[in-house]
Amino acid sequence: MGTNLLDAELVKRTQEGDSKAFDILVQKYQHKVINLVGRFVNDHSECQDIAQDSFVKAYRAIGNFRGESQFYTWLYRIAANTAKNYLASRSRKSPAYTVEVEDAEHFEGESGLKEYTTPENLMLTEEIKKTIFKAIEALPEDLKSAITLREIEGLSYEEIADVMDCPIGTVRSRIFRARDSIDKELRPLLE
Amino acid sequence: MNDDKQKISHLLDEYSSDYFEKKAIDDLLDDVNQQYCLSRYQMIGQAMRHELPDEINTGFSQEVMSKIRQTETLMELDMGQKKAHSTWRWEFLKPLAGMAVAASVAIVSITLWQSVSFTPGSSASDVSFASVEQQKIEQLVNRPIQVAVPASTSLGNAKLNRINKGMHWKVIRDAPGLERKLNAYLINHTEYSKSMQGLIPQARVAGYGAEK
Repeated sequence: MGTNLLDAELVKRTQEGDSKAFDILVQKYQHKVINLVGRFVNDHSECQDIAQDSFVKAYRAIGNFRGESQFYTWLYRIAANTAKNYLASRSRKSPAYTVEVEDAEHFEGESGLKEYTTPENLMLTEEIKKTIFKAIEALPEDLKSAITLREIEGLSYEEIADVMDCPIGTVRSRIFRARDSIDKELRPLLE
Repeated sequence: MNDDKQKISHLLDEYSSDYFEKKAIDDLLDDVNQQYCLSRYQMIGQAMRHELPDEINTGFSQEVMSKIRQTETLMELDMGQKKAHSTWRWEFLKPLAGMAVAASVAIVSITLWQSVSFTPGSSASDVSFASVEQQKIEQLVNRPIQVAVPASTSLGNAKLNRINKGMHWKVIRDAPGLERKLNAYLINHTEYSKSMQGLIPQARVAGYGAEK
């Protein structure tokens, strides 16, 4: 089974009028979009606003999405254009102005201090990252290997089964158990 | 609950049959706890790949959906106002249009009655105005007819005699006010035929032919 079929199904349901499906897409790609916009805009609160506006634009234009590209590719272009339009409206002269959309993800952006409006969120973010990495370190080796090969290396279940010399069902089970174990530590921070 | 979490883990990696995936998505959309679980599983992978931003906004998706709902509400209100305005304008104009048509028809009826010329032998159609043959009227007036009518007659000063073959009315054409009364009758008894062309006036005129 290929990748992004979940996205395709969620997009289809959004086009049919199910806004909850779009909510799941937002949760899935919010951090990627914020990171992308952050390469154009330094101010964190503006970055959040632009990222949110990008999703709103994507929702309103979802009827025009034909599935010829992946959903995230389409969303990426909307977010990059929204950020560039924002900069144009603010009349900033920045190297980010001339960055092509295709290169945006690798662009380092302006240097300088970023403005944070919520120190609590900053601390929470640090805590989340620390908790996740600590939980991964505490995993049994087979679970750690399975989830690392899946999430970082991007291998398929079949490939992981081949690497780890075990059945696909075992791979599936190990990945789930790893996630569940990490989630037990993460969940209290987010509730 | 563990089964649900396993399904979410499989869904995230898209290792499901088509049916199972669709069913899993149906369940996911109906259960907010499953949605939170999916969000946390995704966060684990993003943290491992260093894709998490420096500051996480845990209410981001709710804010986005709230903005979307606000946008949709504003669009619906705008569309509703435009529709109500155009509906209001049409509902207001309809009775006025009807009254204008009725008034113009009445004016045309009166004008035509006053100026219409009657052709002998012409057949009265269902939509003709005041179809009375002038020649028959002349004949009727000049012929000596014995007519019997009730004492209470709407013709006022008309003289009536009884005849052997039923009842007929003799119309004294030059009786004072007769023409005015006939005109009034036609105006008051103007009707509207139901035709594809809409309101077309017609009048029923009691025939007063002597041959009956």
